[in-house]
Amino acid sequence: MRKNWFLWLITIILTLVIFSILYLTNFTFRFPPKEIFYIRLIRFLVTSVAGFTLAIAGSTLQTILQNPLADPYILGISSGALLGVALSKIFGSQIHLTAFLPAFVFAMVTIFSIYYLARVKGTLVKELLILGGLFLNFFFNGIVFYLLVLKREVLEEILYILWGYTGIIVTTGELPFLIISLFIAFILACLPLLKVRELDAITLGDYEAMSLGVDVHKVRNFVFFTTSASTALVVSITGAIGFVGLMVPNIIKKIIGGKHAILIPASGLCGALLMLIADAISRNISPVELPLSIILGIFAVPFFFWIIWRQRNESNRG
Amino acid sequence: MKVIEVKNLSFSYEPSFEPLIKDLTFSVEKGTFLSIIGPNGSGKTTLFRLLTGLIKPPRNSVYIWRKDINEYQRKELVKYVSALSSAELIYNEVLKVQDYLELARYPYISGLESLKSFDYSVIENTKKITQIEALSNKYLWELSQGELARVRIARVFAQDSKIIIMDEPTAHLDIDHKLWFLGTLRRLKSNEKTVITIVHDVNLAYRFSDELLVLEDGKIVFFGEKEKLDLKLMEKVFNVKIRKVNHDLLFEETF
Repeated sequence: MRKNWFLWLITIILTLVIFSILYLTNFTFRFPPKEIFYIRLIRFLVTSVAGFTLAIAGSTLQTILQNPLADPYILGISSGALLGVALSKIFGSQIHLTAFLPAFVFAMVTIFSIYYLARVKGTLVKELLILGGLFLNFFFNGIVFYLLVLKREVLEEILYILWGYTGIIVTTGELPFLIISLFIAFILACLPLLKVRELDAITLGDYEAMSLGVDVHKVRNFVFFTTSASTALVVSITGAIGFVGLMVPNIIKKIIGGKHAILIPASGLCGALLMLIADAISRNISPVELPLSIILGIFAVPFFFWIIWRQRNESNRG
Repeated sequence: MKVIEVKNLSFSYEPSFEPLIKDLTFSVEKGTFLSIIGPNGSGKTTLFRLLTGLIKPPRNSVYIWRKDINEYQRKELVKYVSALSSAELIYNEVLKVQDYLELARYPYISGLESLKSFDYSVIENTKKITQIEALSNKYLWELSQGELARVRIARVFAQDSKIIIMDEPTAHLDIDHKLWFLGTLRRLKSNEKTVITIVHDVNLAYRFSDELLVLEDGKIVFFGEKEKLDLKLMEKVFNVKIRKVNHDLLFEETF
């Protein structure tokens, strides 16, 4: 099954294209009038790039931290970025690009502090990584909540920012910024493709990768940079969206294989697909549009048990 | 030519701890087969990590090919020093044996370039030497400990570095593969390779190597040709009685 990765890639692309058409026509196969289509197209772009970016961030973080539960949301990178966004919303302007810089700084600070927190005597402790992320999540979300409550008029917005929402309203003046942000996020997400061989080697552990000539520290910093920058961009547009980066790469690893030359693009495309599905559910199923993390969180519960179960089987085997 | 030079090397993982490696000075000539032996906790594995750059030693204390080890790019260093650590591979679902061996040729290609036919012929050759052709298409997690040990040895051979430094390479090998492997290492000498092994089995070290380095408590207690080894000293270090029979050492407990 794992050999036919090329067929898998084609299948994923085809599914994505078909679903994109369904999404854009809202399951009617009839394209709506220009104005509505235009709004929907923007939402489609935001949703799919967010999914693409977050899923790839998850896949590379899982490798670099040697932990299948790593993902920008769980590790607190997203909520760190969110704090930056909230700060700029309180003190700064509404333009997306100005929110990006503080978001990026907080995201970088988060990932590096988590990493050094979880390193005990030169080895990464898996539990500390996840626990550290959990506490940072609480901490950052608390501050964000506090800051936004101070500004009463955005109270309703808080929910959607904390849990992620792609149906943002963009004025024509902001549109170029949005498109540029999405484009940069996409490029940043693709950058780890330049390091597929190094990432493959790192799956063997730090010492073995170093023995193979890989400068593990350099690759780690590179991945930390690309993931926090791309996550910060996405978060500054959509708010924090969880669980895509957790679920998608693990499923790809299981059914197609974990070599990064295929894992990274397949994760990105499936991430976009999953986000479009979640957003379609959000728009069509409930009377009120739901934040995306809520829908994805419901998907993630059985998935989470699957990972725990698999890990237990592994340790039995070992 | 001195391919490795160690000058006044001291090291501890935390500055406040007592050093694990205390003021070592020695050098290794090209084409030597050196074994590092010593009781548990004498600092063998730490020394291995320092000599291979897996841990950064202090500046101006370890020289590889007359250049400070800290000045090498990782990719460049691997062409000089091939390291085989005893740490077992983590459970790996990603790579097959063939992928792993292809990664061994990574230092010789740049960026996203693909391997050349020469690299593939090197890989095929090492697979033949280490008798792992049948394992090519297996995932690493499918291998037994002994098979994995052979695959990792094949990786070292495929790297084709000038110096090979290994920590307990024979630990999981059957006796026939163990003898074959040490014999192969001896043959590498004729290719002007320098070999340094850390071995638990004192007898194997004594039989196959040219020089011995005996560590005790982070200090060198003996370094030189094995013929000059003082058995009385060894008895003290390892806390056993030693008799020499032909070319082998026989050990008897002292308690």
